[in-house]
Amino acid sequence: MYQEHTKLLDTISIKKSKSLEVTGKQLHISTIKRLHINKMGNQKLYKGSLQTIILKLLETNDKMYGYEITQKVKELTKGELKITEGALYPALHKLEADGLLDVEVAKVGNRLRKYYKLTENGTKETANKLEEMQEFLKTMQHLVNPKFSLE
Amino acid sequence: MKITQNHIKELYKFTRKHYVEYYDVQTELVDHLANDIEQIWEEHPNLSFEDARDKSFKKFGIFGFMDVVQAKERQMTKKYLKTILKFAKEWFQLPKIVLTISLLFGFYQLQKLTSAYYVYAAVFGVVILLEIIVLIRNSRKLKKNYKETGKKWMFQKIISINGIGNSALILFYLYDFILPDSTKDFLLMGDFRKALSAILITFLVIFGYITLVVIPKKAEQLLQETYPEYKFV
Repeated sequence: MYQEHTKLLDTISIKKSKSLEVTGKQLHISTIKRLHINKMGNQKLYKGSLQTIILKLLETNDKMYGYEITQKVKELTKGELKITEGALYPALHKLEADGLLDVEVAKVGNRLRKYYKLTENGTKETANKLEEMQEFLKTMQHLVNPKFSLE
Repeated sequence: MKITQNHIKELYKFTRKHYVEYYDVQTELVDHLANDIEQIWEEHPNLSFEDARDKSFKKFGIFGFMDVVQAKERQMTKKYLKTILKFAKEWFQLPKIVLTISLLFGFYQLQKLTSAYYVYAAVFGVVILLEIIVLIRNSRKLKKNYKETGKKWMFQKIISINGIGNSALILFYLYDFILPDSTKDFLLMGDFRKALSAILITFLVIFGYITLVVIPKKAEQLLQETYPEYKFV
């Protein structure tokens, strides 16, 4: 049900009226807001993992540019996770400041393109972060779904 | 449809209009917008350049490019501090450490004189004055540079203006901290307070020297290291 609603949210636009008709059902604006917040919450869960996602991608792809990263994530998660532009570049700049990423610039067609790649420290940190992530996933699994835990 | 050279120029203008002053940040955003516009055109080939551009810009959220610029500023300030630290380390290694210790010892001994207060105040005055002079000179130089090339580089501005301005501010605060309230109090200060004053003023001289002399001298090299695109423009 929830997924159905969130999917609908992508296709509907909120009009001036306080309620809106979606496939024959009347949805009040508060329901829509709540659903929207739920969807945002979903993205928030990913937000804390953004750095790990970027590092992992760079580990497998050697060097990448910002737009390529957003597209790759969309492709790998089949659209479930969309990294917003307003979050991606600050994250990349932070990783660069921390010395985990290095930059390269190349002229591609009629414009300059900035590529990011892992530094030596970055490669080490990627391994750490991935390990942390595995731990985190395991813990969450225990908490959320104790019956099906592996251990 | 593909983005043309004219479109690229338009996109640079667009980023400037949305408060992105620096060429280094603009360049990354222009490439991103260009890629996204081309992608949008694949799905909606009839969309005009302006509409596709606005559609792409909306994805940056209500704050537009602000988050990106702010993150970049934080990154560059961090880089600047790291650069200062790198040069400061030299002062605690041979041979420069001899000079550091002499300065420290000299300032400490100085406190025994009745005129110590004035000497300390003069050191402060000179460093702050120098910073203000360099600040004004640099900001003129950067303005001229911008007029000639049409490009501003964030790290260059931090090296030549923000960094020095901030150091001047820190010094004003330190001034109050190091110096006693009246001229005679130097003689009455305890050993710990005396040592602390000497350490801080030594630090101030080294700090001033690095931000005013060492880093500006190496500015060109630092910029090239920071911006691989420097060679393309």
